[in-house]
Amino acid sequence: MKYKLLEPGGGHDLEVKGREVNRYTYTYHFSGQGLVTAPIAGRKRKISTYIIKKQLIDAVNAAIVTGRPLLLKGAPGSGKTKLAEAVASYFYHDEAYKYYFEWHVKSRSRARDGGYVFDHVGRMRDATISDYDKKAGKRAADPANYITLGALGYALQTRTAPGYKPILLIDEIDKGDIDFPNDLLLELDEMRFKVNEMDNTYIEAHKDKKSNEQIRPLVFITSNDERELPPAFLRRCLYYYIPEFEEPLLRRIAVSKMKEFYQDHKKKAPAGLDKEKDNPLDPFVRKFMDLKDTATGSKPPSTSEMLDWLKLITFEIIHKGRRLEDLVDDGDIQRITLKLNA
Amino acid sequence: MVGPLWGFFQLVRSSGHIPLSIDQYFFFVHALHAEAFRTVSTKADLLALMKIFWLNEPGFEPQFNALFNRFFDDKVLWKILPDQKTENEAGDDGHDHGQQEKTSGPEAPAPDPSANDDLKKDPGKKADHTQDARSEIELILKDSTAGEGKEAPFKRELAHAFALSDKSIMPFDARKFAQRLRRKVETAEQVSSDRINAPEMVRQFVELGFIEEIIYELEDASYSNIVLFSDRFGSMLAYEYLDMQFRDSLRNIPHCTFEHYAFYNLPVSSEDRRGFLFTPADAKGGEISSDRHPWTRNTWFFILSDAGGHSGTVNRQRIIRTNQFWTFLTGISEFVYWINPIPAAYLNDCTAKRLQMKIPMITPEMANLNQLVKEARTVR
Repeated sequence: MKYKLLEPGGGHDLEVKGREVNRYTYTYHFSGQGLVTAPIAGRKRKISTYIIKKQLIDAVNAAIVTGRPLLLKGAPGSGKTKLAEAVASYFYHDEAYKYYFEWHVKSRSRARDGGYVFDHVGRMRDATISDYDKKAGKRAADPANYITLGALGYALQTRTAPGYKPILLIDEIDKGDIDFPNDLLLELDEMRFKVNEMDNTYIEAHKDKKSNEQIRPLVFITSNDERELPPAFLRRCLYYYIPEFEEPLLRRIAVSKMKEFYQDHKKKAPAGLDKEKDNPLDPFVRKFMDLKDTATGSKPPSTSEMLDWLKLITFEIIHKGRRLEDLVDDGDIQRITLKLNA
Repeated sequence: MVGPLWGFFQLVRSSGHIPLSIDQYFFFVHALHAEAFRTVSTKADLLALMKIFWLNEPGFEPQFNALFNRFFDDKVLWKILPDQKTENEAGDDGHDHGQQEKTSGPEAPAPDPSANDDLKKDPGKKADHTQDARSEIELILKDSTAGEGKEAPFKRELAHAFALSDKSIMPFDARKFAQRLRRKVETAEQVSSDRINAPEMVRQFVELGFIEEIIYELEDASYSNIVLFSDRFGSMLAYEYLDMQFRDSLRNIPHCTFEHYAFYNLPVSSEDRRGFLFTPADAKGGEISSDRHPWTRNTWFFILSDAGGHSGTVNRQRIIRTNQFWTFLTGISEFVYWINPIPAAYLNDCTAKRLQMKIPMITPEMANLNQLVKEARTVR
């Protein structure tokens, strides 16, 4: 089956423009309808602009083509987590969250939680009061009433247009228990899991009607390298390390973000931001590169912190009328946003 | 282009740096044939794509790059179609797919049957190369028997990197080593004794108003799981950072009793029965002691010392004493490992070199340390 891929723009990189996307509710019916999604009226979420480098485009496309999860590593703030959301925005526009699911791993997370959670206490309560409440008794008779699917379950059960894949983010897998990645091997290999509380019930990826090929979700897994991942898990993943950005790319990011910030404040962005030479943000980016190499703090400032810095600077320009040239050298703003030592 | 790729894949596997499974090779070949990767036309493109499939640890990237450059410079002709340009002067028009079979020697990659099958099924395939963007490059294994035979032999990567007490060039991550070790080291938990824990029962009575059940005192049934002996004297001062890395990561293994001793790896006129001066590394004074926690056959011992490798001389007395020390530890447990920061290749005839005849020593590199844990799995 031929899947839709990321297509680089005119240059080698791909800029996914920021946009507001709808939020959805998800309900899964074990019999009949399957997963039903409905937009939540009035609830929107902002997805920021994201620039995807050529090598990263290749990595994402490789994950789409081969159906393997893409393991992303990189310094904190390098954009690992935001990538999945940006790719969802690229493919599905304002419906991104209809097909994109996030699973944030915590130290107590179990692999099974990603598939589904069973409300044992609720069922026991219903069973206890079934003598007085017939509805509760009826409810307790069917274990399906107590199952809530997790992000992996939703990703497997979501139906997309032909050529598109659901997208799943498993964020910070290294935060989980030491056995967490190994517990996910079967699910990631076969894209299915068993619901233990129900007889012979599996949640599995849909198949394409024409080719009968399994539609494997596009899975992004991020790791901060806090913990070594087991070899059996690693060999099932593709891998990309997001490197530190060079000055031209940082400038592109800064320019597109500054435009976005102005847009957020419903103001017109200053002229000259699109200029290749003598761009007004050149001193800002150079200063950041300089601080990254020389300043001391809890850690070298990352792109994420650079954008916080830029956001505060933009705020000061818009609301206090200060000049960009002066703000770039403002030590207090630098220390706060870039988390530098005094 | 399958033959050379298979050859390189095997080379990466055999290098021991990166564990690779066969399906990782097939996924890569699958991707290469996809429309998305038609643009792969340079070595840099190919290297970047290979890293996505075959590299999963940033620490191995320099070795991977080195292997790639050597293999594709020494072994592979890089043909660009349709202009038939070759990057390498050694190539000529006579090279074709058949040359894959001529290549011999231990490094020769296995010819891929599917590549030839494709040609058999579709004889016009080669002519189609010019129309198929995917075939803009063609990799051909060099014929090692052709020409003047002056092709430089393929050199393996140096098996070690010299370790200095500088974080930026630490060749391994001690924390990750400790994680691997955690899976292997057995830990014991506290067990109930036959003594009643009266204070705890009183506390329960005050809190609950009744005594739920008899509470017994807990007995520490643990033993020392890991013992690290660090040579902290003389030239080993330069490796203090290495020592600290080991100490901090090993003692963070959960439920693991860890003891750390500094020792002076020279015979002294001490009363110690093994002729070495031991002190708990984090305390002043005192000799080696296993009173706190017994050492058992499950205890892992690590010795971090250059064993006189820096001195450049042979100290006979030291050899005898060290051998006694080694025998003493190996008599307790079979998990005794000597980590010597100086690679064996750098040692002249000195105490360490002589000791290595009896005592296996490993350099602190990730691959070696991983191998250590892996081999230990097979001991029991």
